[in-house]
Amino acid sequence: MSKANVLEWSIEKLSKSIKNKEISPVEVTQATLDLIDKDETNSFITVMEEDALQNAKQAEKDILKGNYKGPLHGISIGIKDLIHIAGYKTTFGSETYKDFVPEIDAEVIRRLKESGAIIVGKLNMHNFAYGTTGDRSYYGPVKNPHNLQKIAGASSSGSGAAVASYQCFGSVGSDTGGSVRMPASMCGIVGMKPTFGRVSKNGSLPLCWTLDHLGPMTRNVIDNALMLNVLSGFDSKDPYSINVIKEDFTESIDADIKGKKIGIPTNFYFDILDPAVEKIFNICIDNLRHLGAEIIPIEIPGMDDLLIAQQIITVAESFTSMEKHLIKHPEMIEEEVRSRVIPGLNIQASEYIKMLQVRNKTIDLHNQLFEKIDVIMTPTLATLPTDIEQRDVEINGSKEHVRIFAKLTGPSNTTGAPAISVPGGTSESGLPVGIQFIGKHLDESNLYRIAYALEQTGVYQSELSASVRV
Amino acid sequence: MSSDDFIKSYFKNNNLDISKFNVESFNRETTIFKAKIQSVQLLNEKVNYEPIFSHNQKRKELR
Repeated sequence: MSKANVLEWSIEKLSKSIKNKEISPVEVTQATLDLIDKDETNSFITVMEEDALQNAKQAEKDILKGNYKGPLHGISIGIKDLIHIAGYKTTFGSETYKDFVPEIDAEVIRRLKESGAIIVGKLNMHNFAYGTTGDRSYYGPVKNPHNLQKIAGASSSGSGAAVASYQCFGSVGSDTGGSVRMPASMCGIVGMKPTFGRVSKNGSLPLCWTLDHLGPMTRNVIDNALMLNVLSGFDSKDPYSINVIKEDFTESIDADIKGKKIGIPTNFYFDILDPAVEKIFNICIDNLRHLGAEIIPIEIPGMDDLLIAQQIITVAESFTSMEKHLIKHPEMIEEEVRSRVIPGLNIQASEYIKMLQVRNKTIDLHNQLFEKIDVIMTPTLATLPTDIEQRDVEINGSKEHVRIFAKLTGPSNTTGAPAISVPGGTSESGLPVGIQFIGKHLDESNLYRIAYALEQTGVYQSELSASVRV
Repeated sequence: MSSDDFIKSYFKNNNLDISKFNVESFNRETTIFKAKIQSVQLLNEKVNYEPIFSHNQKRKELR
């Protein structure tokens, strides 16, 4: 078997070779670290070279002894830099936390280590995870591997860029308004925001307690399901964790989707849309229809109110989570983030509670919807990745702020429903376009199945910038 | 206490340096958020909201 470009392999393919002792985790880890050393996307804040190599050697020994732990054993994984890894700084992309070194691993890190995954480093991110562009980090902007002038997107920008540019096989990101799905869409990879409570947040720095989710980011759908298999599970140390039966999300991933009911919203999600995105979206609808899916137009009431609830809950909770830093060292918080957070001071308790009621009402409405359809299908983003530091964007004649990137992803954070972004195609300008599927609570398996079916139609081929190719 | 007084009092009580914040942006964003909260219709009990599986139907108003 040729080992050329092993870094471009999927987790699924590589794990079989590692299990069969055809490829050593040490070789893979060293190759990963060598590539990270040449990184042009600014994806990493901390590279854990020594630990990664030591753990890879241990993985090799374990596998040679017949103690294979599963599909992530020996696989290089990156971690967004708001998740605690004992002994390594966890910066939140900020000056505020630049010297913060936790003593205990986050629950997701404990699970990854138990699975034998090799953690290669901490990934760059938007300051305090509060932004749609990923270009305001204390450690510099993350660049899109498809075009280094463009943003990689949202707060998990490093998590998206590193996976897309083969610097790790998967990563863990966080998603408060779309921060797993936005960079997944912009970088041409798969990002899953699981059901609220499905993945423990214990040991990750909070932005908004009721909206934050952690989720896997990978180059294909099966790899994503393999990662969620490891990351998910009840954790008594996380008050939001839900105790549900453990699933294998790969189990029926390749089952056909004939008869699946896919709802296409006729309101809200398509109010402002770049024609380049719409063109690719329509091709994807046609592909799914040809596979036997039933396409159903659906008007979802209350979406504008849901977006308002998302914005108010975000500003109120982020102010609360950052209040001590705003008081002690406001100058250490990036100016744009500071300006966005401070209005949370002025949200009254009654207003916040009213927004929680809006959330509950919309969850009820979505539950009614999912009695008649299997998933909602939308574009992940209203437009293509913008230039680094660009703030205003014109979409089909409408002048918008780049915050609009969160419009189509944010509602699922408020309802807590699972949502996945999967590459749907490439624009004529060479930038990836993501397709979002939203499901009912705890129905990630169905999302993976439909996303996998779309992926298998071959709608997307990655075309990285020449300077970041392996 | 008015909203403005509350903010001034908060900044003073916490020794916050107001020069480190974009007050103009703060006031503008606060006004926008308050207007948005006022515009929310979903909790209006006189309207029966439900998903509509067709392009042209309007939501049903309770008589």
